[in-house]
Amino acid sequence: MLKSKTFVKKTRSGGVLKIVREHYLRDDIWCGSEVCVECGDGAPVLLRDPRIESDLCTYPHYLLPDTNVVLHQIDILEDPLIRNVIILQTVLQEVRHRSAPVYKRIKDAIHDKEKHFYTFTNEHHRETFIEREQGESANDRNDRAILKVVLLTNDQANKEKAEQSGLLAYRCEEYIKSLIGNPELVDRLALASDDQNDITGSKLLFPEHLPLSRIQAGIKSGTFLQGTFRASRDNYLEATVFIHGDGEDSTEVLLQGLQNLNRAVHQDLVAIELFPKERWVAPSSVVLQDDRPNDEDAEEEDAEKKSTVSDTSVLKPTGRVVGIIKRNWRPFCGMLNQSQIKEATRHLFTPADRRIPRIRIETRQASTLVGQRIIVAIDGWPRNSRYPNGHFVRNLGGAGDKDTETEVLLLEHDVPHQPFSQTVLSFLPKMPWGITEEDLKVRTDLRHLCVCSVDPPGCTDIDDALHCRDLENGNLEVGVHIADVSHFIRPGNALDQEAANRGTTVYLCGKRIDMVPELLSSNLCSLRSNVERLAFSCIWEMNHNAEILNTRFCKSIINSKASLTYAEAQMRIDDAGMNDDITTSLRGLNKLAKILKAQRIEKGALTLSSPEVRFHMDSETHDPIDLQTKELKETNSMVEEFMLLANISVAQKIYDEFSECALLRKHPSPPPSNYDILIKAAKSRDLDIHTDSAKALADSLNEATLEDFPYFNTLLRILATRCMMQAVYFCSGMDSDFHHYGLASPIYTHFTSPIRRYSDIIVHRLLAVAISADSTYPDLMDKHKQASLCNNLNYRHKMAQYAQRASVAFHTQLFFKNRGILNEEGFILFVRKNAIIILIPKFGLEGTVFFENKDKPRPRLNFDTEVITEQQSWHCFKLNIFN
Amino acid sequence: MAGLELLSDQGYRLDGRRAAELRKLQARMGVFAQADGSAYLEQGNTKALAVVYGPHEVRGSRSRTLHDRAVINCQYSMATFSTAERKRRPHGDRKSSEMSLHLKQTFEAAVLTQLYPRSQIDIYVKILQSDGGNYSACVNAATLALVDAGIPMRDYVCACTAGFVEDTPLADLCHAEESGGGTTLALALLPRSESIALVQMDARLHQDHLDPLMEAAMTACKGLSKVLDSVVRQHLQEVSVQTRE
Amino acid sequence: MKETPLSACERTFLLKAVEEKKRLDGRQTYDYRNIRITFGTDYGCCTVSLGKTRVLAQVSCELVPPKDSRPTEGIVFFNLELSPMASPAFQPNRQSELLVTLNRQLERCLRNSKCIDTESLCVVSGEKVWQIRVDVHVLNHDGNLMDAASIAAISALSHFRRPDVAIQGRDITIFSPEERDPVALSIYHMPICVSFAFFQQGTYLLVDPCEKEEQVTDGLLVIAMNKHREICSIQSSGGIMLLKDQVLRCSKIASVKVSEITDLINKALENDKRVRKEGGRFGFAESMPKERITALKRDEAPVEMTGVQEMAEEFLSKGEAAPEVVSSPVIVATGTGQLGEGVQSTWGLEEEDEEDECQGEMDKEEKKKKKAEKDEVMVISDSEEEEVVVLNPEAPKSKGKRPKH
Repeated sequence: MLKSKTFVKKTRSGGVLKIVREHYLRDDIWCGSEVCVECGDGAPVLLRDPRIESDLCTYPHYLLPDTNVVLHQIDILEDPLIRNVIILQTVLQEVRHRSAPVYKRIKDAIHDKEKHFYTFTNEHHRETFIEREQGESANDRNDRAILKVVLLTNDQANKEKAEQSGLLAYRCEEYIKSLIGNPELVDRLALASDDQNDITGSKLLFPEHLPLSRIQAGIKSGTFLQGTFRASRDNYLEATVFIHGDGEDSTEVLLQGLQNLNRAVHQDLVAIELFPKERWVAPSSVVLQDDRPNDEDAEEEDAEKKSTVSDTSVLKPTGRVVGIIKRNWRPFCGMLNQSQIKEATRHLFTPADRRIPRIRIETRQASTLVGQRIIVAIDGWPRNSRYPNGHFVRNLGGAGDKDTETEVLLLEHDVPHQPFSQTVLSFLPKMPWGITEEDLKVRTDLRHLCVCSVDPPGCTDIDDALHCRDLENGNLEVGVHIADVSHFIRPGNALDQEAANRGTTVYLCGKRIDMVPELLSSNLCSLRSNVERLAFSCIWEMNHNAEILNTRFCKSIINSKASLTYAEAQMRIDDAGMNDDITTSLRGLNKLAKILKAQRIEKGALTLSSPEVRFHMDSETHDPIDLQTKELKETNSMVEEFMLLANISVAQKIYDEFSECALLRKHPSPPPSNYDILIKAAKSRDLDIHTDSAKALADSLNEATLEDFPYFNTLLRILATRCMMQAVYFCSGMDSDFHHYGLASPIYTHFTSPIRRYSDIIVHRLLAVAISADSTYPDLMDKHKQASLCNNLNYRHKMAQYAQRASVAFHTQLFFKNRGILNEEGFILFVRKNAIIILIPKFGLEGTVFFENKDKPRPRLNFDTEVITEQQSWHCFKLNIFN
Repeated sequence: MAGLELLSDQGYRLDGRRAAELRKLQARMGVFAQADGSAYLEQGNTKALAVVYGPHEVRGSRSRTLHDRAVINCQYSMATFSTAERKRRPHGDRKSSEMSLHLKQTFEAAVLTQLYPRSQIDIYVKILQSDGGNYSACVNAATLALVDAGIPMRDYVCACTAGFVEDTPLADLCHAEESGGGTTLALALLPRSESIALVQMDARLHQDHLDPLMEAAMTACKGLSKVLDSVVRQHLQEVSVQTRE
Repeated sequence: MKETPLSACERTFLLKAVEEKKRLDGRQTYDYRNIRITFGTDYGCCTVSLGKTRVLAQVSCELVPPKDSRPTEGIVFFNLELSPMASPAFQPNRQSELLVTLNRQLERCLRNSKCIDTESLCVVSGEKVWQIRVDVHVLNHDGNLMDAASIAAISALSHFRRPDVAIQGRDITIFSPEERDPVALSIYHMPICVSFAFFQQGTYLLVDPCEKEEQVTDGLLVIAMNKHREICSIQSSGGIMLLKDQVLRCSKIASVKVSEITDLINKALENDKRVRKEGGRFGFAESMPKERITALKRDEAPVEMTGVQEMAEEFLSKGEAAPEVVSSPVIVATGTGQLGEGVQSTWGLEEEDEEDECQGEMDKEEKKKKKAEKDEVMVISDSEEEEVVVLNPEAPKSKGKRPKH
């Protein structure tokens, strides 16, 4: 028999669409019971004798749950005790619309043969089909459709209707409690919510964003504050807003709770309103991830309990977001969480960056995208939606695949890595390139000097070369020659702009993203051995006590005699038998370097260590085959010393010439509060760290050793690096504090690596003007432009560091993937309420271990709720390394 | 809202049919007195009306006359109210032209045109309500109209659509199933000789699945032909009863 | 201009050849003609030559608002044009049946099979998406336009690069090709059409029919497949009756052909990429071979020559004996020559004679034509011109023997 279903739908463009569908009613739908003799069912599912001991219904019976029961009490239904249940098609469809995960679970239960669940297609059975009456809501109609065997319902109205029509209906609770044999089922009863609380989809509603005019008025009057929104990496319900104050200080305001976060995304420019002091809270010490597998618009369960913190000093200013001034979305990389329902087009996307919320996208190709890294861009975040909406941009490749992961890394850290465009390449010098007569005229000819370079193995972009020789007056002449990149990159052209945008070369494991095209970086600018190259030289005349008597700078031409690795240079110095020019030069440099270093330590320079590892790559598959912690040789520190010296000398020179627009580098000393962790850590072992000055810190660090625990000192130093501030570039006209805390130098800049850092190119240009070897250009002298350039350089530098670390982490993971389970020593660095952060020095790995929900052996720790202490102890952890 | 489930676990489709079942087919012949032959066909919710004029002298350009056969001229159009949203252009757009062409080719193969040299047979088909399987409904309706007009054909031409969902071929797709993104195969068959007059398929399908899909379509067409046959016989009975009186 | 109709004897000849599994240009039944794919200087411009059929495809893009029903997907639009340049049968501005068929088939083959990832063309959902437009122009029609058009379209799409776009918050920046290298489209698979021509009510079939063969065919079956053995579209046209087995067999043949052609396309793309990278010269001008005085030279097509000698002799022996031969012209007076003697002209009678003779001529003509085609070793190519027959002074005098140029 044919009936037709007619309903009206709304189209996307707002029009009204009438949909007519056929609906056939059949006679051949079986009831699925073994008992039944009428149906011709070949394979009945429901058992003949369904025995469940219940004192409510003492006869054998089948159960028929309604929608609410299925949605809420799915745990009970999954219990192996409950069998012989009839699930109606109506119920199943409703569940599908309301909740995808429950739908999946009930489907699994149906497929499980042991449970004898049977789906009855009542929609198509002639007798059970209920036609929708006028004005009846879909819900009611569905209810009517269900009312036809023992109805298990929580809905009071349903129950009454059923009893009216003479059916047996029981509340779920009553029934379960009546099951004599199995009282534990009662525990699994979800706390039944009231009848009134029907699941019509609780609407999540964010407060409205204020229009821009009101926000601006508010900011002017001081009711609102403007700042950058930074989501917390560990807790998705918490964020901080940095308010730009005058000068360098920025106040931080804490935001907690979804409603207060009010749809702001990391890096947006927002307007906030401060709460009065009574409502200020402390930053959460819980680590929270948004782990929900489904996309529901349901109310958020309050995951944090507001702890009453008696210590008011920990409280931070708190507020809420009232409006968004500027969105700063960008395309995000991540993976797709496929929806539970098969034919769904809406899925959730989890970005790789933990600070970005999950994004709901609509796509038809979900099945091909599972397990791939994809890029998604956000379109908007409506008020009533738990997640922002976005769309698919492109597919990067399989997750775990090395190239894909590298790509993801680069994109997430905003590292420009596209190939150089034609315009940029057009500004490169034409090959074959050679030194011209012009060059010889204006440059000093130092090709006769015995210059050599010392670099890490496999380095193709050689920035620097050194030489040292004796002079007739008994002093030493030491020279540092740096590749003359500014000769090739003229200011203002596309090549220059591209390099300024990139800011720095990024070194990943096995890959290098160049700042300047390879022709320059590995060939024309690189100070390779036995070729003539243009250089910018800094030459000192020193006595044997490493005191500088004279400094001069010049543009020169050099011919490097040897490009050595650190190991080779060290070997040469140590080998008493070798006495050629290069080796004598090296020895001289080494001696001077040692003296210089001692002088620096006197002044209070810090030597901190960071756990760095190096990978040995298999040459064919480019897989990491071995890890090695970086070792520092004498030659490393030798080169380092002279680079530092050159940087300092140049800094002084350009500041003298251009006090307003010299590009310098500073390292501000950390505020005392930063050191708290360090001091506490040391105190736990009864050691004192003094932090009043750099020298004091260095000395106390040197003294802080434990006999039974040799690694302790290194650990402390690692902690100390975490306390430090970032070193930044700045323009001398815009700032007054020049001090470099870490190197204990009053002035500093970057000069020695122009191939891989853009700041060095600017410094080269300034120096060239200072020695009258080049002309100025307006942008060089403009301090505001320089300041913005510095901001970009600092940003790129930071991002490059993060990218490098992430690359190392990824390769470490790859390395472990094939190794299985390893037992290693680990040290606890930080302690949080629900997790601890562990460092494994051999591999340089740092990870978080949660206390609950993981079946790892619980460490024994003292956790003092009032004062967070650390215990540095070593535990053997079974670490399952997985992706 | 999640996508529609085209085939439930129990083997029922959206509208309650099983995978190989056809929609309800109803047809009437001889609905117009003016035309030489006419037929009205309902296949589920798709309603098609076909009208045949001919054979008559070639109208329009004489040059199109073929000396040994009849020319078949088809025009396919959809009523503006036939789809859920009103169609702007009922004729002249590419899809309609293509359909007309296909209809023409199908019937050129089926009709015994050698019997009517230098003449023209017109077939006009209009879709009144479109719910999937437009082409099939047109072909079936046109077959009946040709029979009504008394034009000799080799065999009934039956057409049906078939689709593929998760290894099961579905016969006679409705609109929701067609636009669900799966494969759609439209087949016009002469049932007795099992020869295919027209085959048309879109969307990706693996080569190995082609055989079962075509099989399903052909079985469906054969079933359809039985229904058409019974309609024709019934109509004949009615007409003969009438004329006898 | 109306196209020249095919004469009855050509038709019978072609049909007979098909029955014997021979083709005009010497190919086998399942062979394709030579395919050449070349790319132009711009990204997205491609020319395909299938034997003598030449087709040009050009891809372009622009930003438009998306369709309401699909706010997150870009739009792909296909357009095929038959210009009168290709064949005298094509008239400008007329939507002929062929045009409609080709357009629909191209759309069906490329759009419904979802070979391009339209979701990646979205820039801002609901506001701006890329619209990719593929224009195919037929330059020379020598049969099998469908295959050539599909190869050209998919090659052009694979070759095309769209400008790069950066999104920051609500601002969109589109980079010109100089600022940032343009980005290729993401193409999932390459569907390629293969045409099968059926003759004699489906008994014989040929792959890649040339124009003459197309004119005698009963019907055409076009199967579009990709190299993963997935069928993207099947379309039968023409009034032919097919059997299911035939369709299945065709699909198997098609899968083999498609993988060959896909390899060819990939190789051409690789070559082009390599040449561009190395800075070599690329584009159409480079790819057209320099034809100097060889303009009249035609490619030699290999024809099966075994057994021709015997057959020719057979014909000769079976043929009628030649009438009397006149040895040489008799010069009567300066400037005039006389071949033989004139026959008495008798009104009325003569015409009859002539007619009879003409009839006899016709038969002989046909036989001779056939014989000539088998005899002449020289210029057997698929040229339109008639064969050149060398005038032999010993040739029998026969009225109405017209020397063929």
